[in-house]
Amino acid sequence: MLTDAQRAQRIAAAILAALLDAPAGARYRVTKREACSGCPSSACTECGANLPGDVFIITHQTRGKRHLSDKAVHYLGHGRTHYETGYVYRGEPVAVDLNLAELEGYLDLQ
Amino acid sequence: MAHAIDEIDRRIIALLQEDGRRPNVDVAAELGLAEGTIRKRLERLLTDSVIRITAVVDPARVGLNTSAVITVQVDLSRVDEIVRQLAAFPEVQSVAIATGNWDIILEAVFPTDGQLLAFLKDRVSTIPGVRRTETSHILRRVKHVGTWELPLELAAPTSSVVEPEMLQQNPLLAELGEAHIAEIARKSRLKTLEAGERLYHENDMAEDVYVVYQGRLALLMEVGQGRQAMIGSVGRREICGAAAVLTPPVQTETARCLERTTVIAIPASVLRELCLKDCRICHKVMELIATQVSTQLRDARFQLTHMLKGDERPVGTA
Amino acid sequence: MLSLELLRNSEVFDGLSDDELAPIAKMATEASYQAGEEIFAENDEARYLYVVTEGRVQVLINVGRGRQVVVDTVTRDGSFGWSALVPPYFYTGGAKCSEPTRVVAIPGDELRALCMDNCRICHTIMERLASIISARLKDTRLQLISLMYG
Repeated sequence: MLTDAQRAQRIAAAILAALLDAPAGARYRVTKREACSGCPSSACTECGANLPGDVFIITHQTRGKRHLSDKAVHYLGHGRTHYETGYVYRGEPVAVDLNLAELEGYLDLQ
Repeated sequence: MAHAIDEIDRRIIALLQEDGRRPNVDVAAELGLAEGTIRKRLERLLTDSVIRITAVVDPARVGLNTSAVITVQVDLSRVDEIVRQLAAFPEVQSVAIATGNWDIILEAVFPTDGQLLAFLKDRVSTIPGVRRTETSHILRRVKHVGTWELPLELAAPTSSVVEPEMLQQNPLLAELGEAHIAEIARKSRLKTLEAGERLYHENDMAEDVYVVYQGRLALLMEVGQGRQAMIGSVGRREICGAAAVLTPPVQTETARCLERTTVIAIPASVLRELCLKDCRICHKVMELIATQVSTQLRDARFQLTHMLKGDERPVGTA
Repeated sequence: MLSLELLRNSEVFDGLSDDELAPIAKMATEASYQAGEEIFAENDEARYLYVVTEGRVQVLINVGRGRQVVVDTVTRDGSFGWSALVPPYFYTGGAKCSEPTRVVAIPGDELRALCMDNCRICHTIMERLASIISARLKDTRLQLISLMYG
């Protein structure tokens, strides 16, 4: 039985692996759209790694497309599902909570 | 070999043929370009000997009442020296070496017939190598080489350089900034079509976005049985073929020239590349297209409304 | 805050990651309408961009004498009211529900402000909008033609 942190890391690993090479018999593939020169970059609050603003695109045969920021994938790699987007709305920072089960669905990890 | 002159060069030439002393600033204003652009192009046209700026005299107004075309047969081994001498005569307006029965054809003007005769007897026939001459009196000049205007349709359309200023005429494109406009201009080209020619067809794969530089295009759609209905038109500074940057990149209408039209063809791939490099560009480009298309949509809806307002039958559902 | 789920599948926000959908979800509100209810009228100030999450919305234009013609039908994940993002910011048609409907409404001015600061959001939305409007243009023209030629 995996903890949430472990599930998160498993998701990140699957995404990064699929980016390099589609796994045999998989019903999905992963591509990346590079950040442009105008996109703001940020640094990971935990390890300081640079996050340029690339977007990962998971394309699943039946579920369709799922876009994830490099931030999302990076924090999943740290075992986290909650992260700050960097946007501020009406004075409050905007955060995202990722749903592990939903993401696992795109990666056939249930 | 034809020099590479494009549409802009031809328009500059046309303006200067009307008035060779027209200031660059005026020409620039007339064509919607910068003075520097005109100056640069004019320098090139002059350096490349595409044009020469000169004063054209009307002989009749200065007492030269006799005009003649004189054809000369010569000993060809001496033709170079002969033409050199003939060209040096001040009465001679033009000298040319040609094929056919006559080796040299020249035009000359004189105050009187007597002086034409003296010219032939004493100056032309005495040149070593001249065998025979034949003279035709010009009774009336109808059209003269000095007033010849370059026919735009005949001059070989070769290069089709797009100047950045041409893109800047579209106010939304101008917002992209000089560096990006320059890059787009470099990769775009001009296309000129005559009235009736089609720029693109409905359902064609769209590859270029077009900005109209001058002229006007009718936009048409198929209405069955090979007939087409005109649903709108685009003129100067407006855009058509925007489908090239949308999904799917398929033309939604046919564009046909209502008059001689020049468009700037911007390859969609250039815009897409720029968009990927900097999404601020994409924002501008897409905003431009969204605005343009939404204006056309507004027009189409007005037309629809107008058509239906005149209709007595009940239509649609509320 | 609205769930990102509701926005993720919409045609107009297709391509945005969660990071970008999150601030949009914060500014959005949900609303429900009954069959026959009007959401906005033609020429109203375009304050909101709408996404349909359930039901069916018809876009109508007035053709005089109180009559209206349907120029577009929007269903789940579709969007309407895009004049909130394209100048001059007035609705070009009215929107009426033909069945019980749920929508997400996003204030145009706030979305535009977000776009000003973030090129990626702006270009993604604008690109989708351009395609959507273009498709609507083609449909409207076809309607026009069928009227002219029977």
